[in-house]
Amino acid sequence: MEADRTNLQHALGRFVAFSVHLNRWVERVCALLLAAMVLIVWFGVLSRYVLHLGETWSEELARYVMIWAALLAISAGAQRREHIGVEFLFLRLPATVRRVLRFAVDGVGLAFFVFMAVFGVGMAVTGAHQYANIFGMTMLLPFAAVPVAATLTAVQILAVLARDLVAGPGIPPGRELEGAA
Amino acid sequence: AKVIKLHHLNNDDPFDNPTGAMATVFKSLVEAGTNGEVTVQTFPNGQLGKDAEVLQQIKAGVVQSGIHSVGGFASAYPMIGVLDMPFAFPNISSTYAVFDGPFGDRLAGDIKARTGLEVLGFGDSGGFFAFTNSKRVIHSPADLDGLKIRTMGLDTHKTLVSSLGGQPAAIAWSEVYTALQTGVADGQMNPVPIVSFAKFDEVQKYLTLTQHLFAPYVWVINREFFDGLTPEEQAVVRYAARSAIVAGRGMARVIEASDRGLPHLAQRMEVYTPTAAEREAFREAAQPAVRKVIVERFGAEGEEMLDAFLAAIEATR
Amino acid sequence: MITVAIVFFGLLLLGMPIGYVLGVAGVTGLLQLGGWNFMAMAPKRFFEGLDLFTFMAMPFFILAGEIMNRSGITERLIGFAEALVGYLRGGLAHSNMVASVLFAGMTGAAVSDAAAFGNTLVPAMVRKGYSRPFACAVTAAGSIIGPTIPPSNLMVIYGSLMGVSIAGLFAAGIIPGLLVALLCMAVIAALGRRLRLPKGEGGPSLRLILRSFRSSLLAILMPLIILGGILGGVVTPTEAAAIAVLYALVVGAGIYRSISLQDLGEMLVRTARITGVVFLVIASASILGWWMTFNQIPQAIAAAFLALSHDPQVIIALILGLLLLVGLFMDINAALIILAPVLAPLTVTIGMDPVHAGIMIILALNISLMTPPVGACLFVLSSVTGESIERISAALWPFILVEVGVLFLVAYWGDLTLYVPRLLGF
Ligand code: NA
Ligand code: NA
Repeated sequence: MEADRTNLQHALGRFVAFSVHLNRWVERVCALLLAAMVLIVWFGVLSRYVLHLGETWSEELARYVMIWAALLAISAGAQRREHIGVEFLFLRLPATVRRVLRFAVDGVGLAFFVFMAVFGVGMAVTGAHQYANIFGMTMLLPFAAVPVAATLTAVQILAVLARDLVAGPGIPPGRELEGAA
Repeated sequence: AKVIKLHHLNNDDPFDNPTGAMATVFKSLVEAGTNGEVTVQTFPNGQLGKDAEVLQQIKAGVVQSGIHSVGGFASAYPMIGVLDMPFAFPNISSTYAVFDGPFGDRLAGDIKARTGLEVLGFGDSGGFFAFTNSKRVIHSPADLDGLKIRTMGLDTHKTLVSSLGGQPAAIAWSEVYTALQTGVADGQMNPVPIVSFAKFDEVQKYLTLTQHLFAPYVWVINREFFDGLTPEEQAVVRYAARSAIVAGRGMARVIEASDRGLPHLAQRMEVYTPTAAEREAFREAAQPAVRKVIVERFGAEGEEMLDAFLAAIEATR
Repeated sequence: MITVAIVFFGLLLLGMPIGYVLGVAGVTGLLQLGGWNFMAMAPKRFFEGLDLFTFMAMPFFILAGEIMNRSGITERLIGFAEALVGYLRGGLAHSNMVASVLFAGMTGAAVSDAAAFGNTLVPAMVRKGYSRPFACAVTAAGSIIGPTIPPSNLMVIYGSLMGVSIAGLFAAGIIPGLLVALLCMAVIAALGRRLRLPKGEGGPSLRLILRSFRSSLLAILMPLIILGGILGGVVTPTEAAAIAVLYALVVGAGIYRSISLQDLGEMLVRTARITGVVFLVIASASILGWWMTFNQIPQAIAAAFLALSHDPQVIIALILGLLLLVGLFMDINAALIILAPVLAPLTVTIGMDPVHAGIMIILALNISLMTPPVGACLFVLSSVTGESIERISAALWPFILVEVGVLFLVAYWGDLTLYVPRLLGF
């Protein structure tokens, strides 16, 4: 009985460690996408004045890169509990009620992102038959941002649940993002 | 009762714009013609989402019908791009004959086969495209040299501008007004009513009625929904849409001619219509380049459709 | 509809992140409509809700702010502001408001202002002894000056949607924008003693001003160069945000040599995380917004509201109340597209000038950007600074009250708003 419990805790702990690792990589990708987005807009301005390329794709491409970056970053927010809520009532509840509620609310959030992941795959698949203006590209790749991001967010919410389970009661409920460095 | 949720891109007011007229006439004729068995609920101003997105909603049956811009429709049926052959139509009345005639039927059939959407007809989005700019009167392609012209992201439009010597510029629609105001772009191209609605006369000096493009509205309805109507109801929907398209064309012409169209713009901008010889120079510069893009993009099928399009126009002369 | 409302408010009060709440409520609405096809709408709206080029200005300004903070540009700018007005009580808060007016020339969206100042001025104000909620509140209050003074995205949308002169709207926005700034500064002055806002030593010193001017010259040039870039026709307002990043990078890394490549990576990550938090709310709100549009709920609320009276003076008040109410829950772009065509014709029938009515509607929607629970500027500030929206809101209400006052003044005193447009011949 006791051994089972430590095994479970061990597995949860490994899952939490994995989620932290995963998040680090997701954040790196987000940073790269953001940098790409800046470069694309610079290029768009440059091509108008200096290069005289008359390209018309930079505006659309920059938009899709922004969406990928922003959607992927949602999972980082979930992992760090940075998503903003109205907590004045919640914080006035007794600790045990809070704990149960937090699990329930996280569960609903998890269900939402699983839903978005499943239906997002469907959207991405139909996106293969829709066309963007640029390069004759289909919308498969832009649309894929939704299921990928929703899956990652679902994983991170699970990890947060696991973290709460491992850590037990007493974990601070608030967000962990502090003010500007 | 059966409900047609109808998406369109402008206000519902029938006296304000072509799609407002189309939606209003359609609603009235369908509801009267079916004794209220089929009702029409309009969603103006693209409330339900971007044009291309609502097209998917219609395919999914969430929304039943929509009046779409060519730009939005290209996301589902890229070959609509063959209509971007510039300087193809001799005059506005030939556009009616081409889209109501055998070519229109052929295009509608191809759209149905490839997208599963039933086409109710091709409307008038405000007549021919014109160039506006802040620098000079445009008589010939040479006058466009070096001007930064805002276009949509379509290859055909981009090639059209560059073949005439202009420099296409990618600017999001929401920023075009400011871009023209400050000079980020020197000019843009759109039909006269759009120039007027978007208030470009406030930020542009010259209007040239090059009449280089005609971009119809593509009016579609969900196929399962349409097949689910009784034959009598289908007939009502068909004639209602046809009449609505005529009303929309009428409204487009009225707006062009009224104080919200050319007479209004002429008070605030210098308007120039190129002569036949000048138009020929534009046509010679632009057509081969755009044809090349169309053939590259859509292959033999595209070229076939393009030739059918040009032949249908020729037949109206 | 009742189910969706219960889900929305229930989850909200239970402390669920608002980005999740909006999504869950939206999906609940779609489930009620029934059918797989409706459920497939959810990811679609999630994507399309973000598919707008002008949204890019927000991450750009956050990133520019990160670079400015890390490289010392902010420090120097604040030093200059301190030298100018630091001896006044609440001097930095006043500077924040003045900076909002200057910044208004560079941006067309309030969230850009909130992002830029939330990431630079708020930390600086906190370091100088202001409470963080108050610093956020000042920034939120000032952020609506951006889209009220031209250029303004909302005015462009409104003008082309309703056939009203955009240049006329631009001109008409100037006085209300300045009024908002002035009256917010009056609030700061009035609250100064009670909130014990910081106050520097001594009086103004020309030597100090000159010295800090010299050391912050490159930083002071930044807004001027960017504003020049827009007015000179080099870049659009959104592109200008990317140019702000470039300038901060050149000055910070190239001239001050105070940031490294690793710093840059960290700043990009932080910017992405803040963007993710804010954009989740926008994306999820567009699911719920679509459901509301599909059921024509805003129009039904508008009809119920406007049936209450036929008196022109009362109708104006009803319109303002309606816009502020809808603005509590809906994204302003969606609210504008849906409500403007319902409300604008009504203002014409009661004899309002179209430009005047337009400014009134736009200002009301702008104010809703900082009213909880759904207010984009609040989210940006909360996310950038880590302050809770409850505490920001608590510090914000005097400003909201004053801005609603400006709104009513604008609504009932047409000559005031129309002074500049008439001067320019609109
Ligand atoms: Na502005
Ligand atoms: Na709000």
